[in-house]
Amino acid sequence: MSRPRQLALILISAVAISSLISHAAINLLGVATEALRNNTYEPEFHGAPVIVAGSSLTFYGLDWRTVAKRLSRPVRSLTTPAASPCELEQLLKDAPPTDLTVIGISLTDLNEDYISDFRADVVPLNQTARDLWNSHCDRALSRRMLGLYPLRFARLLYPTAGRAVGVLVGLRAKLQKLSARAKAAAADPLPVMGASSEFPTNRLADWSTGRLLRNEEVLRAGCNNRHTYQGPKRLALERLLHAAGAHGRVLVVVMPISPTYEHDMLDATARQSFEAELEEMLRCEPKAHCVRIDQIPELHSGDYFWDLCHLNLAGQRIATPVLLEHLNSSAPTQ
Amino acid sequence: MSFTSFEFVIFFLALLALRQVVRSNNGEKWLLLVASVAFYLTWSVPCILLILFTSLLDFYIGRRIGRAADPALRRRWLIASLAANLGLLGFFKYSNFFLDNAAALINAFGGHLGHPHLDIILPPAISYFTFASMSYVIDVYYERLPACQSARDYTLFISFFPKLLSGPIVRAADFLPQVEPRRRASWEDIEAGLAQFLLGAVKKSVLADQMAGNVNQIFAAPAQYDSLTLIQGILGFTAQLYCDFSGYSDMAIGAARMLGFQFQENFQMPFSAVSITEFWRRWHITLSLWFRDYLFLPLEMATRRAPLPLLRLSLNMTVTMLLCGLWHGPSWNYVIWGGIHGAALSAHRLWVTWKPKAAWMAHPVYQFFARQGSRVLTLGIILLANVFFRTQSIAGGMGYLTQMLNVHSHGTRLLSIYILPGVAAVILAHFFIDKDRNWAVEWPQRPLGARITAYTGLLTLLAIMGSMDAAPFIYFKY
Repeated sequence: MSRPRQLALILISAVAISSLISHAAINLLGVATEALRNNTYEPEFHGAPVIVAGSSLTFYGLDWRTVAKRLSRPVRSLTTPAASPCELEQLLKDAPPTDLTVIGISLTDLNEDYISDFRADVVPLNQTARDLWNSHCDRALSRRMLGLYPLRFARLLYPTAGRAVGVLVGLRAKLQKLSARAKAAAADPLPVMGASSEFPTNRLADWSTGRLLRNEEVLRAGCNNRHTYQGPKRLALERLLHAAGAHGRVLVVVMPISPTYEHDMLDATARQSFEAELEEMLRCEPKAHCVRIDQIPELHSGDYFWDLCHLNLAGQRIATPVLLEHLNSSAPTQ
Repeated sequence: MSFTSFEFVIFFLALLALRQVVRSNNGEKWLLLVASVAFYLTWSVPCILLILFTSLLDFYIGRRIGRAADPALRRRWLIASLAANLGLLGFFKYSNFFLDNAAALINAFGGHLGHPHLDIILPPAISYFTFASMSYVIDVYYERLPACQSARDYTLFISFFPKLLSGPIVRAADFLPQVEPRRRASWEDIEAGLAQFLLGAVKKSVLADQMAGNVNQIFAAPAQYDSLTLIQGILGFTAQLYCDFSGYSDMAIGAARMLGFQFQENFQMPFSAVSITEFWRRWHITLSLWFRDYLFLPLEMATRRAPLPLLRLSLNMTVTMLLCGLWHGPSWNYVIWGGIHGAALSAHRLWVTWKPKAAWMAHPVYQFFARQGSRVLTLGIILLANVFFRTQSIAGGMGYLTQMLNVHSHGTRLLSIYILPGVAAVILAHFFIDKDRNWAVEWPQRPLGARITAYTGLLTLLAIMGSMDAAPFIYFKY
């Protein structure tokens, strides 16, 4: 066989076999590859659903089933992993008509340097390019964001590409199941978003220092240890609020992050930039009302978080009534 | 545009395709030059002027030296070139370092200079292209190389993109003869180059980048951790540095080979060295050869009549390594790093000359223990020096070492799932792979099945464990 043919055969075989292995690894380890995680709480209620758009912080931190029951309306969630206003804006375009939209945001959701792995699946390339141009984003961040688009195509061949952490987590879960520690692992499963009974009860306050440092490092790596605002996410949030406001009431829920996260990873400048962005947004869309769950004093404790960013069941029990109270007080008179 | 980015893959494939279209040797050289300039522009737009200036200046000086018959005139041109290159390097890289130290000295003696600081950008790759250019002029001066007659060829030599940002430091004597005839990569070259490129990508994305997170975490706050974690940290950094830089070199050499150019290897299993002298024959080979040929040997020549030859040799080695340390960065911790290596090289030289226990040396038991002991000692010196290389300050390095050696410290213990397998992979590779063979050259001669298996393995590792959000190559900042 000639050299060019040998090389062609080698490359085709290697790509095909490694692609098969990559697909098998995804299926075997249960690594999440779907961008959309939409859900409807209490679908048996009639009427237009309340639309809730936010990241996992919004859905772990508040009990939407209770909210649905209290409003006697179904609640439709729109989310992707690590969702930011950029993704939520696109998801909202396909949402059913509603007179009440709840948008969950937080210090981490609006951090421009924290990019959803699924951004390229949801946000069109031209929208990303426009936002990067209009917000004068720096080159490093632009490259990171734009790099997700070719990665999306690479993932057709190699769905594991760029998901090494997911693969390792899946592998660990598999090994735990196989090992003698299966019982212990089952007692402390990875929380799954959904039914109330599945909300995590474990506490950040119980974490060892080593675990805390490891998790902080993962988060730091995810955002290159930077917290910047006033970029593409700000532009998307502005459009999102306008779009939601055009149909009815808009409630912006600011979710808390753990005090440990705030202390170890944020500085005063980041906090000020976030507050400035929020204030600016609310000025732009006067129909929007703001609920500051992050300013509930009781929640400033590691007892109410199951990791560095997400409220646990105890925290949720404090936060949900505050939201309900606000929903009742700000409800328009019929 | 980093070698591990999608942009580079697209850029490189487009270049390979365009090369097939270009018919003439001249056209091909222009194409490579334009591609190299475009590659550099993705890193810095204004600094391209600096590369062009250096290239054209040294091209001109090289030609003047080549034509001049008068030794004094030749020397003057050489001095002009060295002054220009070292001046540029000194200005862009060391201005603030010199200012800081001068100010500290003046302030210490009662002066009031404050903290002067110049806002100077560091042009990417300046250390590499100035060294490459200086070596050309010195070689022409010593008539080891005829002066290049084409400004385009010379600029291509300086700016050739695979080696531009972090080496290997290719010399004009190796590069220029390769651009003269029309370069066509054979299929064997393409296959060998691709394999080396993929191996480099695996070293960088799968090993170095995955270890980087935990290594950075440990070095960010060493006081928080116990001594075992700190040992893990320095082992991890050493493995990370090796995988990062040798990965970059493999990718550079592989990319050049796919374009029909052959570069010298830059790393040859350095941690298998049984002495620090051997380590420097295997670690960053092109840099250590540059320092040997253009600094150490001239120093030896200049001081050859000095008494106490062993002391002279040791001093020259130490000076060379101190400057090698300073080449890495304008900071005293790099000087300390160089000093440790210089002292170790001198000590090894003394030991070899002294030959203690000469009578035992032939005994196999002695040989075995001496060999293993030397290996451990060499690795210990490398780890010690790397603490200063990584911590970015002398105080930080001392603090790290103190905490690491304090076995009773009560810091947090971190067992990294990234560092330990990464270090194990590097150790196993050094243990099992023949350190003196160039497998990339041999690769296309292997059976088809073995090659398919190897390529599949590399692609699978990249696809499953590769980090897509790649950290910059460590040596880019030097």
